[in-house]
Amino acid sequence: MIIPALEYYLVLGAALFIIGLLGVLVRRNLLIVFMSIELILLGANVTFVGFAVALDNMLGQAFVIFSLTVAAAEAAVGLAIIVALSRHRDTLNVDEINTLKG
Amino acid sequence: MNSETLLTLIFAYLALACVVFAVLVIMLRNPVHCALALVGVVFHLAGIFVLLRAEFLAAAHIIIYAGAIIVLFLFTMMLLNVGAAERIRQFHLQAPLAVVIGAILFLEFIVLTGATITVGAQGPHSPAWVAEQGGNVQALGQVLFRDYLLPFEVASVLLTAAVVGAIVLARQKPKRPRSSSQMGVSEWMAERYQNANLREQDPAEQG
Repeated sequence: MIIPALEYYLVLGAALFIIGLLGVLVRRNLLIVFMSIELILLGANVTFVGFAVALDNMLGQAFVIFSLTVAAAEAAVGLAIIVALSRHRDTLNVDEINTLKG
Repeated sequence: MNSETLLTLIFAYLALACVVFAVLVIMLRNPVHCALALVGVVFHLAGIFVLLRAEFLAAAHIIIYAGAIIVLFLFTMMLLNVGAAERIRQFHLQAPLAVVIGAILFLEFIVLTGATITVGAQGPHSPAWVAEQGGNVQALGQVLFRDYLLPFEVASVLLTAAVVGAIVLARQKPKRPRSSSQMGVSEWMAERYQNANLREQDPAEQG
């Protein structure tokens, strides 16, 4: 039994997900696009934990641990790519990063 | 005021703060301020997890997000020239369209939330079982290290691969007189070894 009802947690998770999605779609700064991806993962985590507690199943909470692992790995590799990219092109604007050639 | 109302009020505050900080993350101009807003989101989210009696995950979120990921973001901003990024136009031209589509998607989420919440198969880990194990941390440990040990180990492999990948990607390439394609691998390694030795011997060169 969780207070308030599960629906509130799901709506919160959906709100974080949508805000993160909007950040990815709207922003031009590559760093902030990355932070928006973290917001999306946080929204998914809220949904996982909400269902885990409402359904008395620990698997949801265990899965959030893996989600955290993936988020950490993604941040490390992504920020390394950003560092290498800015050394190369000297810009963080996603509109200017449009070529595959080095 | 009974405890249910109190918990609902606490949830309302935490959820509202989460959403406000999340909007700040995608609206603020300076990336450092955005990172700090993300810290705000994570802290209030940890409060939500405590409300759900998932204490370990609340602590893990603060340690990993606020302690590791956001510090990594801030380090990257120190390495890069953030001031230059502030002067560019911050939003894409399609921003209004994206907001409309996001609002529609959010309404869809709400409708689906109301419609599908009749799921009912209760799992084996009831609050009584969790209390029997000694608390949330012990219960999570039982599940993680007994039933899901292999995925846990695979996650550690993923982290190792990410560390190696991050170092390889962010490493400063050494300045070479000739391109590496013209040079044999052993020759190139020997030259690098020599350069490293020279640098160690001459402290003035390190500046």
